[in-house]
Amino acid sequence: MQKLKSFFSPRKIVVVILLLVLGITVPKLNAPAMSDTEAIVTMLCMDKQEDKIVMSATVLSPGPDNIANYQVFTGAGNTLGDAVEATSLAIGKEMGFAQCEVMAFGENLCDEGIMDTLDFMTRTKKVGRNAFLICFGGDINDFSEALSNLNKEKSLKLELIMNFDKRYILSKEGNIESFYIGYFNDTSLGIMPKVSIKNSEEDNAIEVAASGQTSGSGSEQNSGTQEKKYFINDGSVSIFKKGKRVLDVSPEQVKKINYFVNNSQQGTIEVQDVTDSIYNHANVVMDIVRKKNKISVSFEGNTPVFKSNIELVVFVEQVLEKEPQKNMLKRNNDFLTPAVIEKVKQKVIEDMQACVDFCRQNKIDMLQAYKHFSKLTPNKFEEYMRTTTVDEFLSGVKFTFDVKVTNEY
Amino acid sequence: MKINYRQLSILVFMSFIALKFLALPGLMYVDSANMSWLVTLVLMIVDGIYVFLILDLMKKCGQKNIFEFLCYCLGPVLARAFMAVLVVKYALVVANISKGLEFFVVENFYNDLKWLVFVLPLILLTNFMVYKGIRNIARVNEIIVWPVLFGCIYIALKSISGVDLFNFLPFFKDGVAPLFSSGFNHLSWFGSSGFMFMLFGKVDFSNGKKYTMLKYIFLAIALTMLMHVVFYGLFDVTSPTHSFCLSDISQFSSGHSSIDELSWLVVSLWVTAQAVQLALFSFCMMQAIKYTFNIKNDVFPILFVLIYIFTWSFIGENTVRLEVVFLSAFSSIITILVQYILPIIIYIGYAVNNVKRKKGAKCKS
Repeated sequence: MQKLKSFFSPRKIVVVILLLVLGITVPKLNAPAMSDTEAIVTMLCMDKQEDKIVMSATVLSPGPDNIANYQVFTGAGNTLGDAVEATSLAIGKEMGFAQCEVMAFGENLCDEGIMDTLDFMTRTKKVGRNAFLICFGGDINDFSEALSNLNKEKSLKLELIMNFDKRYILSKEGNIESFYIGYFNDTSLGIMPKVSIKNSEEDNAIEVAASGQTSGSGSEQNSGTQEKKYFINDGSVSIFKKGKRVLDVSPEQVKKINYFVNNSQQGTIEVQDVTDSIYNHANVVMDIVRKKNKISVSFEGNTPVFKSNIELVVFVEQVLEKEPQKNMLKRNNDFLTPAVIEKVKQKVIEDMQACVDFCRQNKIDMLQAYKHFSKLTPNKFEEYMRTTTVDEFLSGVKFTFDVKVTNEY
Repeated sequence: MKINYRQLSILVFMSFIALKFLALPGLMYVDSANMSWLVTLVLMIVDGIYVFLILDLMKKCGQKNIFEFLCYCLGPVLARAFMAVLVVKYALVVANISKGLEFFVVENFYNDLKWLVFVLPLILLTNFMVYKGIRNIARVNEIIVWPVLFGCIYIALKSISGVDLFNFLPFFKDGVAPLFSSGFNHLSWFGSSGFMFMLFGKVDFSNGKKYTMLKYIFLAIALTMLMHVVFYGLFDVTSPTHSFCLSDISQFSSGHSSIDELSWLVVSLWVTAQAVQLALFSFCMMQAIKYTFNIKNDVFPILFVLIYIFTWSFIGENTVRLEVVFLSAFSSIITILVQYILPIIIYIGYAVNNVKRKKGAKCKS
């Protein structure tokens, strides 16, 4: 035992440990640097063209003076794996997706369904579940080039634009995780911001130079005439059901849907033709400062009732009037007159009813009525659901609205 | 070398939270869905009650170590048998922590890291800490406890705005039965205070404040509840797909801010705390092996523990999914035996022995 003890002396153990550490680390010194073998993909665009998956990866590489340099590479294949391989070949490095912040899907792919793609990218390729998801309209090469230029020329990062959208339009996380949660819930609904690249300038378009023709893989070698393209993020969203895009919702409709969402910070309300002691056939524009929608659900007999009591705190922002009245000049005017409040109430209720009709017609529960009923009145709702389906249940629900409008001060 | 009562309380705190922020919440959701938090709460409260039971035994044993105390209460044969069961329990916890740590660091921290590159330094660190003894482990815990606590609270609060309380409704949708089966299936993730057995005779209670232990147990339960509620509130139906509670909570939001970088610092610190936990349970395993096989020196039990960790990493890497082992009835039964039955048996044995000795003393007089 004493011999054994002396054999395992501390000095010998330290030598063995050092040899082990050296044995592992020294051979690694001979290997190439990781940045030489792996490309950092920050954005990934995918679409389907002529039965092939087309992939476009924006790769970050450090430039001179530590200025980030973004390059776009494309590849195509019959399967997603093939497309990844083709793009990797174009880059000359293996693609690392852990830093991927945005995944963009073309309309064709969205229409076919994106769940298998998402599963592949998150499980096999380790894209983080907090990557933003967006749906884009237009050509994939134009889109990725445009975004790259957006970054280079305007110092606008897509993820920052999406971050703004998240707060003002979606009112929730617009990432893969959030999409998964929606997909695996009973209504199987998902939502993505919709952006487009167009040739024509629109109201809220950002000019980005993009090539009209792109050939082969590795779009750094693009050839063709440069024509002006415009990046358009107008606040519209794409709605997905069971992983497939079912419709696009216009910005106006999104604003109406957001009356039902407490977190949404978006909104202005315009009421027209207000006449009272202050206004003379005026159009009054108000900013929604705060909004609280108290939703309660109950059953009247067998009829589910969805009550929405919305409290709006508004600020009169702009008055559009041909001949302003002298009363406008009075100090301490309360511009939120009873006539305006009445008009606002009328407009909000009309908008909310229109939103309900839209959801019923398209069989999408953007109001989260299913969630409220199944969580708050589970037994009665289960009974009700025996007589209908998840797609049709909204048609049997009675909606009531109550609107309260107050001034900011 | 003894540790004080405060250090013991901190060790209990760290062992309470050690296994709770990895795969447990996700695994539990499979069985008990939106009521998983309740199962965790109940089991942690039971664990807390048993801490005080073991603490009382610790005070009763005086200067004896666990083996001597078991011999005194139950006799040498039963004492050795219980020591063998303790070895198995500690071996399960060591495997769980080491594999969880390895999986976490290799899969989550790095894009492509060879398991050996992480496991070898981890083994060396464990070796060093076990060799230095329990006081060293307790002191390191003392240093990191507050940063770990505030770091975890920071991560939970940072993401709390995304929590949807609807995810916790309706209560008891599938009745109470699934909660019992869920509790049984995941028992091996609880009962971490079993390490206290190996500290019999190694704690100095002389300067301990009355409510120190209660305070730390309450903190551990509150912190775990906060993390689990945030976890289920954020992830809902996708909870089972998440293996790293702490880091996944920190990465839920896609927003970017300068303070986000701090999350990784907190996660790194938590990894350190886990490594110290590994050392603690390796120390317990080493002690239990010594008592079971009546080995006098530390070298061979330490070597055995290290080889064991390495083997788990190697086997786990190639063939076995650890969750299969930990979700088995075997590991749950071992936990019940060690955590819930052993203290009661010791109590009974101690009481019976005392009565016998009193009778003997009376007869003699």
